[in-house]
Amino acid sequence: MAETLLELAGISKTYPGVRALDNVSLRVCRGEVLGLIGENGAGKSTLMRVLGGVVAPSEGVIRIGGIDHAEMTVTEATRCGIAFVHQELNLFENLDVAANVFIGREPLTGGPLRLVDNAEMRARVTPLLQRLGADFTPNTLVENLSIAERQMVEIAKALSIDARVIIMDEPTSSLTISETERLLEVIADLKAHGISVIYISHRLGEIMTCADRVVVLRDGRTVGELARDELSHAAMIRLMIGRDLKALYTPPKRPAQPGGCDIAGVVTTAFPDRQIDLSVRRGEILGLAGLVGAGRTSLARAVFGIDPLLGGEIRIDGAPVGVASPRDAIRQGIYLVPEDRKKSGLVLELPIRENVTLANLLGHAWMWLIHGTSERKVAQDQARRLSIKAPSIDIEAVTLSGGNQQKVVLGKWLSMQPRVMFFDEPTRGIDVGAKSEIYALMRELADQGVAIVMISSDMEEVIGVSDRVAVMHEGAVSGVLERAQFSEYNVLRLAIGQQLETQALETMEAAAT
Amino acid sequence: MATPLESPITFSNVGKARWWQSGLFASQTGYVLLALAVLFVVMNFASPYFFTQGNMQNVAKNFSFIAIATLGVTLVIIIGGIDLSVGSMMCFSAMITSMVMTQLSTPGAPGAEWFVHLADDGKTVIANLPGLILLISVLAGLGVALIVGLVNGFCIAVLGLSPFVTTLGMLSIVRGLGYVVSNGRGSFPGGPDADYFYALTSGVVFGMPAPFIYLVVLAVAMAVVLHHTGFGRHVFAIGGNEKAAALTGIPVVRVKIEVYVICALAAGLQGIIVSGWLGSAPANMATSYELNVIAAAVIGGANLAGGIGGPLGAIVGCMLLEVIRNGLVLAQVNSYWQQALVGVIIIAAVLVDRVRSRMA
Repeated sequence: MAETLLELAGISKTYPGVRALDNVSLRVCRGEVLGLIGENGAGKSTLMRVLGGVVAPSEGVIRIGGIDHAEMTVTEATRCGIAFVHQELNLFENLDVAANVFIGREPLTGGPLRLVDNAEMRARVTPLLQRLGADFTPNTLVENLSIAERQMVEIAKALSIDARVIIMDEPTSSLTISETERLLEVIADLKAHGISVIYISHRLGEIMTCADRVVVLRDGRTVGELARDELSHAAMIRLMIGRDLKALYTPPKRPAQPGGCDIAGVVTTAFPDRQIDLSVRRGEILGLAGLVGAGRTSLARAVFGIDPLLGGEIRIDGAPVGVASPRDAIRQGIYLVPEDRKKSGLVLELPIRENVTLANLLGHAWMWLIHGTSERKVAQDQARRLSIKAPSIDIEAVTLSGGNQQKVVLGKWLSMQPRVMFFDEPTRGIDVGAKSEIYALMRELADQGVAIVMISSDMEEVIGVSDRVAVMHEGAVSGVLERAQFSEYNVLRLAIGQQLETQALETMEAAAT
Repeated sequence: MATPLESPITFSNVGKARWWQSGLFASQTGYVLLALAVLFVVMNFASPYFFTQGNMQNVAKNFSFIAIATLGVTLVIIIGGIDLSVGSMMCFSAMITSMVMTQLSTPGAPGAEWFVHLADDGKTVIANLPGLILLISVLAGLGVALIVGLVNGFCIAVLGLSPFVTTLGMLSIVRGLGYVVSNGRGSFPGGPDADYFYALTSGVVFGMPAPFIYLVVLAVAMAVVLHHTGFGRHVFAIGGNEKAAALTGIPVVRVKIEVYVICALAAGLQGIIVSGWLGSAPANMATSYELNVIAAAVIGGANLAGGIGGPLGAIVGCMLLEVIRNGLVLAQVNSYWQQALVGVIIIAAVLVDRVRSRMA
């Protein structure tokens, strides 16, 4: 066994009325990638906050390089070589890359003048960026970087403090497939240099790829540890939720009906020289796969009336509909469950009840006055139907977990009459249990005759949930797969703009004859 | 349809909130209301004159002179905006009202022949229809407020300019226009309807000053609109998360424009009432009142980040400021202290709320 770098022994953390961590022990070896998984609320984040010195543990010991600490401060954690790559990246967008890497510990020059030595900073950041294979310079402003590039800046920052352990909390939740692969390569490289990584993710496929060992938390306790050769989706899921998860795919109760939504020759502002043709039948779940930036979200925005349509038309059940604004789209029964539920889906300070009824207030109003009883009933019904876990519908949405917040967004739309629903990354950052509930709901809606488009970058989800998969590449649909053709390989080929192999063969044959 | 869980969920970690930890009692408005009550008791002991009917009427009238505008500004603050032009707006509406009134009441002036005629003695001006001039001149004053509100709302909601900059500009524009139309001299309500005007603005009804009654009516209306209508919900939703509000199909642009118009109308009405009490609308009337109005709204619990606020808070904020001013006068403290103390109260009010939310 490799040398133990860091050890958490018997860590407990009690908040008033809740035990967030209960006697958790964890060991990280030198040059090891430790996968840390568990449902939301299992205590992963709290544990990492203890390690990072943000939260003091109620009991237990943090042992780093053989020295015991009862608790850490952020400065101590940094000095011990523990670095965070946060889920919500903590960078200063208005500053450049070099300034971000050295923020708070800028090299100084000019003696008593204490001027920041910009040249020195750049010179020290450049090799780090090269090592990470980044194609931006230390002078680039962070606001011009993509999320994946910002992550590289965070990792560069970790390397610049000679981090020995880098904690990555859901690092791939906003990355494209190729960016994810790039990150996994970087992790392999870090590992080769003897740096340990604690990798927290809901994406079990990535954990399978990169982790040497996996620790599973549930309800604030360590419930299991899997060595590299014991890793399997089933084993991890069983430990995480304490039960076996049913197969993702539930077939529709009846075949897709005619009608639904036709997107004909639509041109979006993101790709003004491409046309999109796509149709989704009533009763079907159409997965919309592709790399981030392939135009999936811009398509959803255009259909929902947020961005103007530059061309083409949208037909529902054969009849063209005009969508100049989200209001129009909602009136037509086209609903969007947006990608970022906190920023675009919910008003966090409002109670569940008011969030659910916000889109349809006039439906609860009499002479402009809102009818409280009817409003409560609708919100109660949705909370029950979606099994939103909350003590009451009057508590603010901000206090809910990600999965339950997403259910509130769903409840808002389901309390009305959907005809076409766009789900943009519906389960991002949501735990496994809530994920399967959301899949079940999507299927239930489809069976009621709703046409569903599910935009997703999670390959398991795309393949596991959809009835058909349409793949987008650079602003156009590069192919549609039937269930028989579903495979990660096929989706990826289409996503990077190649043809399917059978198609390629046919084309060659056609050319030959 | 949802996957059943192994064990039922309990919420032992979610403490049951006690009555004093929720609703009004947990809000900044609640604390300020409490402070106000304490102040009343203290003042009662400190000065025998404080609780006399005359002084109470005086206090009620004085705080009513900024409270109606505060209601409007509170609404703007709830949607996450700010309106710095209310002081200028008060002056301009008042000025237009009294100028129109005077103009329509001057025999021989263009248009005036429809409204007034001279009595047989050749001197006394008599209204053709008593009250009509007053109605038209008040509508004119509110009309200019409506236009200013529309311009504010258009610039902010449609053009996407920052509310601070837009209304800062409007503060200057409207004040400047006031000087232009009056030549810097101000104007006086006049003519046969002036008596009605004074009665409606500085009269006393059932022992209460008229402005106070307007305030109560408007505040109740605002409370109903904010909490029981779709418009009110939309206002809170926009203040809480404008992006989500738009994606939920709320007509964000329209609601924002409406809010700025309501705010300007409230300021205009306030100005007209104040001018009735002053007996004139001087060109420098209500200068820097926007600061008092915003201060009162903030003390009353409106959150400049948006999403929080209400009419009760607006009134309580105005009341606190006025009671302190009144108290300092009764206690014969140098009145220059008042302004410094107002500043202390603004900071103290938000500080108390901050401490409370830290403890929770």
